[in-house]
Amino acid sequence: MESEIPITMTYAGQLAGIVGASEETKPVPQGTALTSFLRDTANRHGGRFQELLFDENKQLRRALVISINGEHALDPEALSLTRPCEIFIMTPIAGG
Amino acid sequence: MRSAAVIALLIALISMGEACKVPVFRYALERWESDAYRAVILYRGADLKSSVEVLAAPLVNAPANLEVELINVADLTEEQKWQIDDVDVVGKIPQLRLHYPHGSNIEAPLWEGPLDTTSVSRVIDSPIRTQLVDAILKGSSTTWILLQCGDASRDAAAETRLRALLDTVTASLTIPEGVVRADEVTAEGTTKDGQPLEMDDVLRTEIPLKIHFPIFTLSRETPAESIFIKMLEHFGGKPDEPVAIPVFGRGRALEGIPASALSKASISGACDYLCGECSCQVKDENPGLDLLLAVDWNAKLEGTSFIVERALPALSGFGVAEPSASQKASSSAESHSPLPKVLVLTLGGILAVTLLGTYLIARR
Repeated sequence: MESEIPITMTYAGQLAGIVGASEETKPVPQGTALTSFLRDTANRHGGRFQELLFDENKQLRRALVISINGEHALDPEALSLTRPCEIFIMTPIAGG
Repeated sequence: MRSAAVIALLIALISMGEACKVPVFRYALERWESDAYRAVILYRGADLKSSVEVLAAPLVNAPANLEVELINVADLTEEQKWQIDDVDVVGKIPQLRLHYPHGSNIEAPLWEGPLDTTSVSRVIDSPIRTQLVDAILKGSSTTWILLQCGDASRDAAAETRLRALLDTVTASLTIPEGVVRADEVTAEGTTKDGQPLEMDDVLRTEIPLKIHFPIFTLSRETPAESIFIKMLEHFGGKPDEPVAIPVFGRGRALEGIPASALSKASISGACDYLCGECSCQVKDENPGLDLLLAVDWNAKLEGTSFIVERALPALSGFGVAEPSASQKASSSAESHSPLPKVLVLTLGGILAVTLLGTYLIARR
């Protein structure tokens, strides 16, 4: 059976406002692609959360700061989640 | 259409190149121009024009990232009036509406009120903004504004927590290897021992390059900062919770981190991005929003700047056969990219040349 690992998301400004909390933890199957995890998270929170993370082509926005355990992920689309960790996201500041 | 596609591909390939070694905070200071805020002044009647111009003069003349527009609403057509919200409220007293830069896509004014000497002075500048600029020009990597909530114990706890986290981060972060001071570059564009280098890795000013994170606390009840506080409110956070806002470069601010999210992961994550290699030199593809500051950055930096010129080498091919910067964040997340970046770049280069050739042939 596929083992699951807890992933903690920490949010700054806009995302924290949308979620209503600055932190949440979810279990995911070990080895889940980071992008896939973020897509699931965005789908769960819907609308504005999705817009902040993904562009109109459903690609992860470039102007995001995503860090894992405090280290900036230079190429988030190339990462998968293999251990419990804390993901921190800062989004561009924008209206819309 | 085809030319646009080819150009887009070329740009994409160029942007896939290796990150420059200059940290983001310093690259932003030396290379990113500030986006302009907009001050729209609405008045009614030609007889007010000269007095409005006198009142608005400090805004117009300030060395700030600010565009000023004076509109006599009495001269507007009905169609033009539709384009301005609440234009009918403009009476005898001229109104000042301050907007974020266009690129923010935030249309509503961040502040609006009567045009007078007080509002004008508070739009342009404020004590804490002066301190921020001073710290940045002295080499602080990033200044942190702790916007307080008014609950003394929560504010103090947040400040203590932020200071402790920043001290921890300061002890662990280092400036990326490979940053070159301009006085280390020869006229030929090499290092003094003859090694080739990328000019993007060269600092342009003598400002000290260091890891340093001062904190500036800001009470929401400070009258002189009232308009600046409104400017910060869009950076996130709730009024009943302290929020830490990082400011770097020429006053570019990232999203605020609420006190409840102050953790090693969040502060390290933000600082690691700011002090890490500038992986994307295009300002608009980086997060943040510029603050309105009355600073002529180019003049301030000019006194400390180096001018380094170098002849461009002859083009010998296309495609950058360099490995990418090592992927970080690998302890908990592993790379699953199926192709090494060098291979992707090489294939991309071949594809670009092929497309370009096809396009040129098709044009004949």
